[in-house]
Amino acid sequence: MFWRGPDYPKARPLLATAVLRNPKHLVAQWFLFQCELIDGDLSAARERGELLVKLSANNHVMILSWVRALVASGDLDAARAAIAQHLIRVDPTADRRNIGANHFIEAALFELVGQGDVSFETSRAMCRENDVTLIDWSKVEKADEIRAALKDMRAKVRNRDICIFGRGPSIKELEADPGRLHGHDFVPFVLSEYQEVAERVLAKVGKTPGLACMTSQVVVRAYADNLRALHASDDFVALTIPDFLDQQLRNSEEDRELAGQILSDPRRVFSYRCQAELNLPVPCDPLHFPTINTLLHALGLAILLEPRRIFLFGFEGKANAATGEYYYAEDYKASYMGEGWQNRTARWLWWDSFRFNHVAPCFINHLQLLHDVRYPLIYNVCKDSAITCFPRIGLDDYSTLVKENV
Amino acid sequence: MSAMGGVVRRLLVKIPLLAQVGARLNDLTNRVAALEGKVGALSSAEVSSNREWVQSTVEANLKDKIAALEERLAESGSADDARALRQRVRDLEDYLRLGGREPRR
Repeated sequence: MFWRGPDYPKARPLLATAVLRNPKHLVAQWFLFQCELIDGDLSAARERGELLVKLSANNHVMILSWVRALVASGDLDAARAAIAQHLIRVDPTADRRNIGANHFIEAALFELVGQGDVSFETSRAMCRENDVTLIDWSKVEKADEIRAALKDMRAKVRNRDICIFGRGPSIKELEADPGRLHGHDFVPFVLSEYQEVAERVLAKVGKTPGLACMTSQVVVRAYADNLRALHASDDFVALTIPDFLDQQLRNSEEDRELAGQILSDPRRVFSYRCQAELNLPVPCDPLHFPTINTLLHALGLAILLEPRRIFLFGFEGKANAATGEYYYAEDYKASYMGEGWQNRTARWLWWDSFRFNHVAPCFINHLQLLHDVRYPLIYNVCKDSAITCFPRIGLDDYSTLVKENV
Repeated sequence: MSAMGGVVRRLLVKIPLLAQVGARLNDLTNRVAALEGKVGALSSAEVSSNREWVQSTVEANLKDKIAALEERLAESGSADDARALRQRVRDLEDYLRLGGREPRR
């Protein structure tokens, strides 16, 4: 997306000129709206959002955009009124082999305005019939291999806790007191910050990662040696990556040897489809994960493995208001600076968490409804996190929860 | 020319235009009807095919579900099951107490 790239500051004035020349240019208006929303210029975004809906004659994407601006500005009543007035609902049961973007948008819209029950019913109508899942494995490439792999992975994880580690500043608290993790039987799940978590947290309690999710070729290359070592470990369950990265690694001359080493055992690799932000898993595409962020993808696999509980550590989902700090450890941040990630600013994190908070519950609903997995109990161990769709607890709450026995 | 003559002349000019518009409207109406007919036929075929797909998918998934349940039943002892169930209830209570959302089904 251009608003994450280095030329972002140039975009807004150019788009403003474009819409002055042609106010009916929907694409220019929409991109300008996105700039306003991500920049936090919410009154401008609200006005333009309404215009988008008028110009597009109630297009679902434009309704979602406007409603996002209304919710972001705290006006839930206006957001609900906009949906009531403009949303022409599609019949989710008409043909569930061809569920389209408008269906997902409806589920996301209702979740966004705090109508979780309506959102869930919308999703249930897409995913189930007479309360039986409509998952269609015949539409999934290598379905038997994937189902067998999931069964193997589930045997190692089911009914155990999973801890997923990020690198938000709150991870410092755990690094300072790693003993909190002692005595807790959990499967460690690391993301793109593999080494930092493995060295500064897990090694202190004698653990190595059991699950890893990576979504960038750069990150996989950076941790190639670690991933090779993991594959030799009995404790390792699986590496999960999006389909496009799977293809990149297998097809690249430079990565072919590495791919042969870390992707050759189908029981230890979980590759999910990842094509669009709002494409939730549906009957004929049950392993599609929305392209929002790596945490969402990690959660996807974690939920499919039916753990007892999932704990998130180090996920602030926002920059510190006073210091601007958003990733802990300058060395880690610096390692990304050269890779074009320097524009991952505080505003981008705001946008990331804002979307996550209404897309993640829909995503979880769809996984649960399609794959017949238990409702996942997910805790965010960061009381001040901007990721608010799971209960936010402190380290003391975590310690109490994991020490309690039935 | 009298005022009446002017009106007649304007009407005479408009009649061919009205006829043209009428013909186009007629043509459009026919095309819309044809399209609606096609859509109707497609919809009915799709509805039937969708119904078959739903039925066969539900049957296949029910079979899978029963097989999985039987497998689980064979693997687990009743004491373990009871313990797991108690643990789940306790976990859910904790979850709701700490602000979690009630599971929907």
